[in-house]
Amino acid sequence: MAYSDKVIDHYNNPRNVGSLPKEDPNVGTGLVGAPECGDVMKLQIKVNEESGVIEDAKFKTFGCGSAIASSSLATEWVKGKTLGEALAIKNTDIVKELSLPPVKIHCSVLAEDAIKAAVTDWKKKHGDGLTS
Amino acid sequence: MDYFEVFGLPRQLGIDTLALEKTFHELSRKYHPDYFTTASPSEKTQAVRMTALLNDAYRTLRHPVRRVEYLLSLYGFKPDSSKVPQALLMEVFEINERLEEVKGGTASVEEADSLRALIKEKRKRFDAELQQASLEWDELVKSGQPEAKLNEQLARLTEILSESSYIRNLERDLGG
Repeated sequence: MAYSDKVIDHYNNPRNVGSLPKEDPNVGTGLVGAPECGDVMKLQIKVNEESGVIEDAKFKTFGCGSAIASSSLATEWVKGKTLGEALAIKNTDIVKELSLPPVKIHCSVLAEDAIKAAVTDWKKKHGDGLTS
Repeated sequence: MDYFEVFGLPRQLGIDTLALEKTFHELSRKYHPDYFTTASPSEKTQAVRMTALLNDAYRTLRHPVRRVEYLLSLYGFKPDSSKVPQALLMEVFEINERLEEVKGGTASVEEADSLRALIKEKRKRFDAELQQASLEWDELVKSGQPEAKLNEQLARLTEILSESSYIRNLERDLGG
């Protein structure tokens, strides 16, 4: 199975790899994993408290090329978005953008889950744990 | 016909792999195409189908982890990413980060050894846990426990199994 050009591009030049300080009150961290393949993905967002806009995003993924590309793309997309807009990103958008084959769809699901987990973590830090 | 039925076995996890191999060879002979050269086309097709099923069944049942995965699939249980414990993910992430340094050559020899020992230890604990839970499953089945009890144990096995691919990947990345 061949990777699409976009997957290869993100895999070779991943955007926003790294970490943000986990304890920073303005940083939300999402750590998710897919038990089928053993991938683990960390996605962090730094949110401007005033505007609710995601100013920065970082990721680190241990997994296959599609998982790395999905999370790389996710950090690109969430930057500059409000939390609400970030939550509206669907895994199907990622599948479409990266032309992921059916067997790699779970990688995009993982990236969507990571965004949601990061937003939830940020909200928890700001006393708004349950609603999205 | 499920894989257990192919071998005439109950849906239990404690399987004597030597006996399994023996039955596999016997059944392979029984369905071998050579014995069906004069058979009708439908019998021939049936024999080929049985051979394929038999091969799949043997490959699955002889492997203790794949055996559990298969049993779970028969009852509609499968690893669920929303149920992977956060503590496990954190641990796996941390080990992966350390592993990255070891592979990148920036870590000390001691660090590489200690990581190797840690992954080995995780494997040992996983195997023991899976074996124990498998034994418990067999006991529940043998003593005819109600469905609720069985489902509880299937959920437990699913949870244990969710760690399997993480350990496998760590071992692979460590290079044996």
